[in-house]
Amino acid sequence: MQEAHTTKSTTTEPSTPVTVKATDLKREWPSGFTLGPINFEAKAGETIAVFGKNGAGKSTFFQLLSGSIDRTDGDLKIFGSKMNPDASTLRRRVGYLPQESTLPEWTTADEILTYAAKLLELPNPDQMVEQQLKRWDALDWRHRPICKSSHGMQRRIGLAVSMIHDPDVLILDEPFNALDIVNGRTLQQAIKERSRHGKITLISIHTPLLAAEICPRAILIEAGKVSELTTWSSLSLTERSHLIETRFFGGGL
Amino acid sequence: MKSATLLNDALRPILTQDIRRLRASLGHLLTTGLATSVVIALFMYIFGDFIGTKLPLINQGIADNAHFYFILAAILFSASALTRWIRTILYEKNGWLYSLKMFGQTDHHLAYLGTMVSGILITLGLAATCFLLDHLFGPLLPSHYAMTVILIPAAVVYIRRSGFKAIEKKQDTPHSCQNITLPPLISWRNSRVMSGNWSGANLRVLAALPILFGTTSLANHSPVVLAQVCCLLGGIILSWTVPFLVAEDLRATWIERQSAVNHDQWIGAWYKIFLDWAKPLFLTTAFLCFFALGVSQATTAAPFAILTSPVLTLAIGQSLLGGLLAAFPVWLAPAFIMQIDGRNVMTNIVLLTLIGIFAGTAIIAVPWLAPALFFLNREAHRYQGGRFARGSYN
Repeated sequence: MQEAHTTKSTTTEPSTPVTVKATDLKREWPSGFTLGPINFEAKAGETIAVFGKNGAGKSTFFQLLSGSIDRTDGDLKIFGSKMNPDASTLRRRVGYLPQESTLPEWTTADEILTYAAKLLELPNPDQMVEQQLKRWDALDWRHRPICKSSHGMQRRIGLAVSMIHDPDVLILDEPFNALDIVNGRTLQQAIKERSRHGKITLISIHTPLLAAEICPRAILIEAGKVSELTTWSSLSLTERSHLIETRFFGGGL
Repeated sequence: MKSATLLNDALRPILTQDIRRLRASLGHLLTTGLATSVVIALFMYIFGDFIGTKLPLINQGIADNAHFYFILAAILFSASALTRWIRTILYEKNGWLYSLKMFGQTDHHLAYLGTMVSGILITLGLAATCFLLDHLFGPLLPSHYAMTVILIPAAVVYIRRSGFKAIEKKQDTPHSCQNITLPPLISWRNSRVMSGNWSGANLRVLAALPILFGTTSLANHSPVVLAQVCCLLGGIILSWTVPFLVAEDLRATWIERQSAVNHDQWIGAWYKIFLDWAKPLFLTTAFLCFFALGVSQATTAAPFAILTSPVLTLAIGQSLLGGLLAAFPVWLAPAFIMQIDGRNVMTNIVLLTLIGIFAGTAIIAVPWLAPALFFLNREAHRYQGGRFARGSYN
């Protein structure tokens, strides 16, 4: 089941405005690893699964999109403006939860979320913090030190931090790790809700069936190159899962 | 046989791991080694007895050659530093021309203005450099002046070309928040990282010991240089807290990065924090030195002998120098903390120690070199720009 490598979105209407546009985007590291050149578009309301082996360049791709690092070459525009580490106003419209979302040990969920709200200059920080704690079922844990919390609880707080400002573009790097069934479902609902409100979500997932269920579009990162899984949207859930397994295991699973 | 197998089984994985680790960090090790060698070599060169005793013995021809190449290198270095500085003030973010561009000035006007201003500035800067070199190290040769004249248009062309590229890259970028984000960044670090880091807290206590010993020893008629060296030692030990605090901070900086904090804002918070440490340390150490010198004078001469004009001037100068030596390493530390790897505590401790010893002994030897610390700070800060994201764990 071979896939054609194109960059066109197949899931949204052609009239939907392009929110994220990368043109020949490239990032080179001193170690020799190069991501790109990438040509990628995402339109309002899309939820995109990002597949790739470890070390393929997913994190670099996410860091570029979130403006954490600058590009070496090419162009990256979000809402028509150039994205780079100095684009503070633009960067605030992008949320990013990295794979290793370590939190300061002796702080509490309440303190971390309040801090994030202050950094983002949210108009009503207390209300936002309360809302996120409620959503992630962490109200009872709000004053407990992070180092006394479970891994799952820390992940929920990480998710709350990345979603506290309801960003227009949200990048989640393996967000389902360590989440229990209930909070996994909460995250799924949050992602679907975002899509309904016209917001973009990119998710790195290693579970094909889960990706098939929540993401109408999928891309693949291999050895620093991004390619679109063009037939993804027309497949059933089982077929989508099978497609991913075929790509990674060559049908030998 | 059994013991040989045991040894093989036990040692082999350890050795393999060590070799693997060595290979992975070879680049960092080489860089650190090279930088250390350069600093030590410079240190030996400047502060050895080479200039005082051996230089006159060297053959005149070699001395002339050394003089020629030293002046040439100094001119080239000055031209390079001036070029980067002018490019920054004109074209980088918040630079003059960058601001004009944002206000809609045309490229033609900007190019003309930029060429004029950079030409004037580089000419003045290089003229001042030649004047200083001529007075400090003897007369400049015609070839030195010729080189200077060639460097002026080259620098102007470089500034113009690279400056416009920088503007183009940053254009269409909505940015703000520089000052608004800083207070929460600072208060968060002050309240969390400072109080929770035990290594940092212990080092702060340890740093106070040599400073107290050095300043109080002045009252017992100890040589002033001993007190100054003790102040410098205390300052260097205090600067070791910076690697611990920054390494711990880098573990969770994804929160800041996803909140649009950039390198300048993040390192700016650390600058402010350590400046707030350095200021009271400078004043306290200077006061302790002055007080101890007063006690020392009172026990040898009249009770208020320190208040007589020549003694007072000398005492104030020595006290300020003591304060500076204690305070500058911690003030300078943020400019060097991301040079190699912010996460590597030991590397940064070695780096800060070498810089502290090098700069501190230079200031003890020639106190008028103290203003060079500002230049060092600025250049180092600029060189490590943008490494916040690269130095993070996540």
